[in-house]
Amino acid sequence: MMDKKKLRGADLITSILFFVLGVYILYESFHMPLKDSYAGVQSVWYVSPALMPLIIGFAIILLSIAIFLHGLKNGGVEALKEAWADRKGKKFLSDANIRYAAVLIPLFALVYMNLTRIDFYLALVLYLCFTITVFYIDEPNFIRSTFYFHMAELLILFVLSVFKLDKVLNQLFVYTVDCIVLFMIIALMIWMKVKLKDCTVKDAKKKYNQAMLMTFLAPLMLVPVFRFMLRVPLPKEGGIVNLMSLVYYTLR
Amino acid sequence: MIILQQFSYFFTSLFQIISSPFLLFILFGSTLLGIIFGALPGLTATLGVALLTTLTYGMTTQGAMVALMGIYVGAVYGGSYGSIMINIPGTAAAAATALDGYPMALRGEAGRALGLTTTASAIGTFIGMMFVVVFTPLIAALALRFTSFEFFLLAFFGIMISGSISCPDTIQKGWITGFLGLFLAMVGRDQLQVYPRFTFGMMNLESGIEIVPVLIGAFGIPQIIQVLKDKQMVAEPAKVDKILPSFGAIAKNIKHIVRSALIGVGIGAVPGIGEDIAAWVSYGTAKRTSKHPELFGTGYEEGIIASETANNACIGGAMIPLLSMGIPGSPPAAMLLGALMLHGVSPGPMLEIEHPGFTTGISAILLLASLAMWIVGMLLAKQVIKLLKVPPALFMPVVAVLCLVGSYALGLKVFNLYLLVPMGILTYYLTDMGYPIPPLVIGVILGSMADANLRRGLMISRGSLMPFFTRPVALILLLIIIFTFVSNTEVYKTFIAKVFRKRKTTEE
Repeated sequence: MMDKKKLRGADLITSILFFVLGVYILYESFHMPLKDSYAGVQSVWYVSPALMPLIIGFAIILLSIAIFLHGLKNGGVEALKEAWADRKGKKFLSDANIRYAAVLIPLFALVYMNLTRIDFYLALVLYLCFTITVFYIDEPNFIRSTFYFHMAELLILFVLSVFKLDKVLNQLFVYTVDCIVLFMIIALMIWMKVKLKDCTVKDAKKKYNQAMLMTFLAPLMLVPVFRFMLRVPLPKEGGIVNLMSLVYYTLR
Repeated sequence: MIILQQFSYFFTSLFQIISSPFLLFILFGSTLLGIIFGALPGLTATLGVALLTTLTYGMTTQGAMVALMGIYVGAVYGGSYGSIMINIPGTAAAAATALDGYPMALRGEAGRALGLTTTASAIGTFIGMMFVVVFTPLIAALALRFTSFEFFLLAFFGIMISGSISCPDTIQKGWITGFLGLFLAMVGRDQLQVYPRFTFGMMNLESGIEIVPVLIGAFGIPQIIQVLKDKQMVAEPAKVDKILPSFGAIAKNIKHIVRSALIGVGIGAVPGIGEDIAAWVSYGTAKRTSKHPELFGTGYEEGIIASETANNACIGGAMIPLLSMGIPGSPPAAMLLGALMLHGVSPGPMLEIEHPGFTTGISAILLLASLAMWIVGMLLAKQVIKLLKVPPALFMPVVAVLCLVGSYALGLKVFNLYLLVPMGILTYYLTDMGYPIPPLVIGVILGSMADANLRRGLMISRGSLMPFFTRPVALILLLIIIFTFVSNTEVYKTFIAKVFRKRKTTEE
């Protein structure tokens, strides 16, 4: 949690956001059937679907005002001013911001882009390969350079998905995108291996090997458990998952 | 006759589990997994229950409950390993244990400290189980007399009390997250008129927001972001000698154990308040009432016993409102509620009518889980401690993947993942800015109950609000809610302060 002084500044912003949410809830609620007929049924206020949202909306507005006033009384404005002044000296691409982006962007890419377009196993390996290695080795320069490299890879996948080129490529050969991702994983591994030479962290090579082991083994255990034991159809079953299915059903 | 029937259900469940090698394997396996989850900093009991829920989907309800209760009990206890060995609590529930556990380990008595926590935790779980057996049917019988008004107020009470107690900053933040949870529960078609609310025309939102992905998002993703974002240091665990059960010390401290267990059960029964608060309150009480308060914090056994008994007794306490009224007493219990719903079991006053013997079955599982925890703790503690050397960065991304796969597997909806990530980020920022998450979760869970019951009640009374004042239980709940609200206002606090000051000056 933030320290109390910063918190009061943040309270002013969050309370405004909550206030806007409360107003939105009320606005939407007043558009719900309150006394009019809906689906052939004459509504009355006390059975209206708007009743509870109205209570919630009013409560959020009142509480957000209380939080705002509390923030205002306890030095919220000064804290905001200080935070604004501090921002000027800070770099946008600071180590802390890069680290934060390295946590979130690959996660976003996995969920909103890769899981439904790339073979499930490969999507997980791509995510884990980057995330485990950079945070396990944990050296600012290594994180930064690998992050930029991985962003370039994700950008290629983004372009493919936005322009629906993945579908076009998969029409040529059904596993084309999977092959591209496989190359990306190999490229990322090589990139990280090369960058390890500049790394000042103790046992960096050992850590890299352990990270790779975890990267490949964890999905290798997870995918069969969910796909064959729990019989969960995976979001995208591409080259590797189909290969696993082939092996599983041949042996079974 | 009813008591005999309950006994028969209890022993039947006990026998069924003991006689099934598969269930025994599940029991010991999940308890060990729970201990590992609890021991590793960054992984919590709630996350453990959440992730295992997805794997128990294909099991019978009994098998699933054995697994989930096992991991719950194991994880709450396992948190003490980190506290004692490296002074980093594995879970928030074990933070109080570190105050005396770590100094004891530094004195070269790590084995004794682990023995004390193991036995105290097992006894705490056992006492909690006794309370589940006795109080759940009583409260469920009382809740059967509740009408829609009482259920609406109960949901409201849950949010208010959870917001009041769990908030680390100003109380309004606790309440507002509760209302945010209620708002999230309003998304989708309403139960009475099937009117689409806050769906933005999206088909996926028509059936509402699914509880389990929300819970996984709320408890899993922030943890992952936090652990990876901050540079983690791995400490070298203290050396462990022989782990002894410390029965002598336990017998000597039986008074403290009973008191701590009662505190744990009591706090566990309050909606949304978890094991961490139980442990701290118990530790504080033990220190206040001790003959040697100066020894607390120096590796004193009373301190370890107080926190560890209370946090495990809290499990039983949290199960009481869950099973009797469908209101989870703690965040892991909220996860259990989601798991029960997935298995077609709706906890609440009708539980014993729809599933006779379910409560006693849970009690039997709790008893076996406490035994399994004790055995695993005594035998494998030394091995589990070695895992404390594993840096979180190595397994946290895998946990992230498990959260995603688990949420997807439960409903086979990719949309659940699209909700999970923003939910996780939202809760991460809310936590960072002093907004507690338990009220939000309680709000999401109880939202539909509050909505449907309020409107149903008003429909019966034809819009009259009088039943809120004429029904005794409703009136009591209403007064408690009003008091909770009023007692946290500045006006009330100033008034009370003035009264006390006046009394003090007249006494002088």
